[in-house]
Amino acid sequence: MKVKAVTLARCLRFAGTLSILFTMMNKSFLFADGQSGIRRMEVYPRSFTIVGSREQLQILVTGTLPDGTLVDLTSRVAFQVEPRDLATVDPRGRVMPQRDGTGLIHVSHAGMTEQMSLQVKGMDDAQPVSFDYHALPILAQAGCSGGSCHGAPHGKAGFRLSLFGSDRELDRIALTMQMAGRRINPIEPAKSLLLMKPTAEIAHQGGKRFDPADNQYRLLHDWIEEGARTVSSEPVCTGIDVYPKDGRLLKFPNQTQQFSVIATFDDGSRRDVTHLSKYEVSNPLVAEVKQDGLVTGLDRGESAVIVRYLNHIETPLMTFVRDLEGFTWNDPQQTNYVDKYVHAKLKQLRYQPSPVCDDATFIRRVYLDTIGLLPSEEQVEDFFANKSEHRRTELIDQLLQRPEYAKFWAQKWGDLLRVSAKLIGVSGVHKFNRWLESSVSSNMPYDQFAQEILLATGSTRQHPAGNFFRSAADTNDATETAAQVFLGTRIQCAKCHNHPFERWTQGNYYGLSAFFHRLQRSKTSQKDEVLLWSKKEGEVLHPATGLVANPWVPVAGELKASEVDRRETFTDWLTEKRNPLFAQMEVNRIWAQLMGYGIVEPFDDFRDSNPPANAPLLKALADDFIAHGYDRRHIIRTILLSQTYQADSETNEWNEDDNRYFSHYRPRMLTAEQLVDALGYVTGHPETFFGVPTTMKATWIPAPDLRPHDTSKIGSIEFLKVFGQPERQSACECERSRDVSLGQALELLNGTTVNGMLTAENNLLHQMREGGLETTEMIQRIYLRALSRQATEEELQVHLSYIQTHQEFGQALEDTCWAILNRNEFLFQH
Amino acid sequence: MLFSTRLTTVALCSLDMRVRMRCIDAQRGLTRRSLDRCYSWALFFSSILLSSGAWAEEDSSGKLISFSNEIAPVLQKHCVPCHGPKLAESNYRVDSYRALQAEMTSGQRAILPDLPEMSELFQRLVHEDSDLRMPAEADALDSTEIDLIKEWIQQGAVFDGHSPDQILISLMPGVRHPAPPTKYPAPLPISAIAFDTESNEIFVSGYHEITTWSLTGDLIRRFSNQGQRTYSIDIDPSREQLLSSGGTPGVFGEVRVFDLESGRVLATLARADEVILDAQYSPDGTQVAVAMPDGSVKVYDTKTNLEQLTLLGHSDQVTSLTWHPDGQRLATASRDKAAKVFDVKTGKSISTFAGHTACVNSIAFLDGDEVISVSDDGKASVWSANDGRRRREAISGKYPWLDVARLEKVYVVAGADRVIIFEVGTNRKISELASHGDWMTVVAREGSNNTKVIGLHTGEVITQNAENEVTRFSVQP
Repeated sequence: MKVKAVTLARCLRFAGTLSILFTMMNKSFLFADGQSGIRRMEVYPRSFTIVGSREQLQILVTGTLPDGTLVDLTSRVAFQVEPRDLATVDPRGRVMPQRDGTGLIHVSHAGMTEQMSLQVKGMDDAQPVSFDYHALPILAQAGCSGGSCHGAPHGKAGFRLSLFGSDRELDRIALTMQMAGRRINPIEPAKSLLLMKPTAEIAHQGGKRFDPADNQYRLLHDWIEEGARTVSSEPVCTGIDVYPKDGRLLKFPNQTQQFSVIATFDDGSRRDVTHLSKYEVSNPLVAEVKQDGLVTGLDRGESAVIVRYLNHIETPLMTFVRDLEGFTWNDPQQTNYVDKYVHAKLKQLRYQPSPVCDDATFIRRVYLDTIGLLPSEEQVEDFFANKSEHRRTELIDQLLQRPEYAKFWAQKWGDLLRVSAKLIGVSGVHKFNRWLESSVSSNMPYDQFAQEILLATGSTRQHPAGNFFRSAADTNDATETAAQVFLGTRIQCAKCHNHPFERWTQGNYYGLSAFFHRLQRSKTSQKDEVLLWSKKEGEVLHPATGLVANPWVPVAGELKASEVDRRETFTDWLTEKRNPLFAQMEVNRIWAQLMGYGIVEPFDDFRDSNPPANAPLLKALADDFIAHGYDRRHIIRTILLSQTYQADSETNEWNEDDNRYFSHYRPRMLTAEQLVDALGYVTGHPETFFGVPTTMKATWIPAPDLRPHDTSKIGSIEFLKVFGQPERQSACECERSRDVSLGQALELLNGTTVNGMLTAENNLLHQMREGGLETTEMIQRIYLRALSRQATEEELQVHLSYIQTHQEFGQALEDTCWAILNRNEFLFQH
Repeated sequence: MLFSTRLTTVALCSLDMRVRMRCIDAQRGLTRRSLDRCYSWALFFSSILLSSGAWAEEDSSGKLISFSNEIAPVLQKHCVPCHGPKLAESNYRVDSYRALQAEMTSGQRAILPDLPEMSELFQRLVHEDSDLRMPAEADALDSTEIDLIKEWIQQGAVFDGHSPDQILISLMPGVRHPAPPTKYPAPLPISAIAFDTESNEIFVSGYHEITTWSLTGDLIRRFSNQGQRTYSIDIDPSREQLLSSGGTPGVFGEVRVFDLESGRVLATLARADEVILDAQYSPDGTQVAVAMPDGSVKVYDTKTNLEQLTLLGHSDQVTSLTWHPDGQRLATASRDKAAKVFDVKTGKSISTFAGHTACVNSIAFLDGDEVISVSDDGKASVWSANDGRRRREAISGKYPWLDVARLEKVYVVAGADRVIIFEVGTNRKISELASHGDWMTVVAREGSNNTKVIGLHTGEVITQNAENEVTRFSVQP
């Protein structure tokens, strides 16, 4: 009977789900269609001329709901062509021309009508398939010329194409000429490798890419049948218009959107290339896109749609929102504009932010983020004793004036600028680090900071910032590092080929490198000294064309560079207030260092296909940064003060699946250096390091390689490595590993570092025992040091009962401390 | 009556095999040796059927399914590309019967004789989850093909070939190739040319045929029953036989021997799963060297048509080979960017030239110990056959060089944009022919009266006689 009952219940539940589903479907249909009413309807394009029998046109119909949200009605409306025999329209809004003439396409929906005018020309003219604007885009769309397939630098299986068709000559030879024209069969086109491989008629490691029934097959087949023409006198595509444009917001259940891509050519003609373009999404958890340009939202959130036709790329951002039953915005408090923009996004996406964290969590968090260290027992007690309403603000202001703040943030910069003994020598390390530290403590404006680094001239002993050009030891390295650190642009790919996802071209890379090419690095008789000076001549040659690459910067394009020192021109442009990239990159970096992840993430990877999670927030921070004279401390303070920064890491019912929009604090493991310092402080036995004073904290070490590497010794440095300390060989923040590894667990459980601290003669545990403290008191002190809070009654009981059942008190106390050090609450910043 | 005899023997052999297969399956611990002994029985029986080295062209359609005739073609077409020597996905290969029987990484065998439903090989063909179904990322096999494999396993997964180590393609039945089109709808790039000095005929690669033409551009003969494309044509020194290599790109390759007089196919020497790019008679006509797509070079005895020797050393498709006039040495070019000289007696590599940075397309012996090799990297390099050291760069250009031919007094280097003729000995450039934009895909061969013949991508040939008079005509039926 019981089994039956369960089954019945399950059936009922299933039926319930079904009926809910039906209701939803009905509702969505009604919502889109009828009662609640589409207020307005628009057809895109308003008019169009189709030239030639091979061309087609994607019509888009957009409706406006009463609440102002837009709905893609394209596949829901009725189309009627007048005169009827001019063209046909399929239910997806694709127009196929039938004869020359002019007419109208009527669009009707729920009693509303709209129309567009259509002209058809050249139906009787021969229109051979074009190599350039048909065949190559199809090979890109089907993935053939993608970077992991035949577009790879050495191709695949002996067949190489240029990446996304960027080199027509290479592709022409590969497709029609190579190996005696093996890939196309002029006698029986359908037997061409070019068709039999992608349709998997003969085995293809790349799988089936299209079907003989598909448009792509038809065009490629016809291209071969017509003699595989590759004439180069055809019009050149000068740009694409993608519709809908940036910023379209869709609301479930109307979360689909057809795209349209219209290409303009240099002879003035326009062709619909929707069916020839390649579509990708930047966030596959939020949206998916079909090969024909139909985007479907999968979840709340934002995703860019990356649309590519030939070498033209557009990346419109789409937002998907959903009404959630029971969700009401609780209008949380806002401290400053950070909260304003974060909350606006959260409200739009229906995420409820977590409330502000408690004082114990806050003090531990803010100490770790500003000075890299745990607050001391006294500092925690003082903070709790302060009953002022503004005690958090006061604490933040104090911390940002502390010398440890400068040391800790100088280390972050050391990572990025590759301050290491290997690259710039031990004395170079100390000099550069001191310069970085003083730039933080004096709160040097960020534009000046960048200028002093990038324009460093003369001896690196006198101008330690010049060590940047020793770590970045040649033109390419300096170009790539400067682009990554100051522009958030990973331009390396463009060194060898046009960037696969971005507008960056190979020419851009060498244009940028032209600014750094004339810089000379002369050695002197002094160790660790280099003289930096600029030659008056010397040009970068584009490796493919052999032409001189003119100095070039993003957005502004080619610049007339200074005759004295080209770096000046670059730096002037870089730190110019109108340059959005410079300020945005830095505020995003600061944000990521405080919040654990960037508004743009990875935080040094700015590109159109990697949109920010909250563009208005990023802009507001950058504007504020510029308005305050590139004051980094001001930005840090602004973020720390916000409710967003101070939010609890506990999630609620309405934000537990948010990992992107800052609705709650994201816990993260302490960095290697923070962890060593924290362990040292809790046990009262701080670690000492090679080549620096014994009082130096791990979070202040100027370089990771001051101690010569010794594989036979597994000591403190090794502990840092295990927990992800970077070698400083790359200017990418990603070099600092955030991975959790077995090695870390072993180090914490029974590694020599932790064990050595716990058993050291004069550590905190011994001191407390000698001081005759009560066991409870001892436990509380450990808690206060490790977790910035008192132990709860329950926790106390657990520890006490453990200690009581063990005869060796000292050992039991060590065990207790060890257990606390292995708690997530200790290992994580939360 | 050969047909029925064969069928009976296969059946007998199969029965025998089935018993043994079961016994093998029952005792997993059985050693490789005893497994071989089982096979040697099959070998004994099947060797009765097979004439030396050549393949019969008929198809069997008895009740008992033939691995060689019916299963091997399916596996070859759909499975070998990912589970073969080039790319052994999941460490599992199916390119020979032995490989098919080997344990997979799971420790299981993919085929359990008599039990198709339990055999992973079959399960994967019909899996509901398209991510697990094979072939990966493609449509499922036709139901007739699936049924065939199921039935074959049901019948005991019997092997009926020569040796379980034979690659599948060598087991598959011979092919009667489709007839060539009477008239070509579009020009086919010339991929092979030969010149018969006796008859003054130009032999040209066609579509499923080899055609011959007079020097004035008249079609003389058509040799049909040939693979889709032809990549080399050679006539034996006694002028009795025509040797050709070719196949269907991406699918199949073979070397065929034609009777020069009747045009009949005499034998199929070698087979491969990709087109075979070159096959050449030794100077005395007793041997044939074949450039295999797997990087090996096979040498056959022309009397018996049996394989004599395999030369190993290249790691990718061999594109071209040439005999030294002494008949002792072979020079080879390969996609692996290397060129080599082998000693045909010992089968050992004498020297390797590693100076190219792209596919080496063709190779020829010059005088002394010099070898010239031409490559996609735009270089025609001259090097020593003794030690592989570079002697000089004959030419260096932007476009690939596709062919080089040693003629009596000259050598001809044919490239994408031009053909250059050098004098042997002095290495002086005698003349140069520009292509005027057409891709000179192929070959230069010398005819009587010092006529050079060059094939074009456009389906035309260019001839240049001793007086440097140039004619150009189409060689498309």
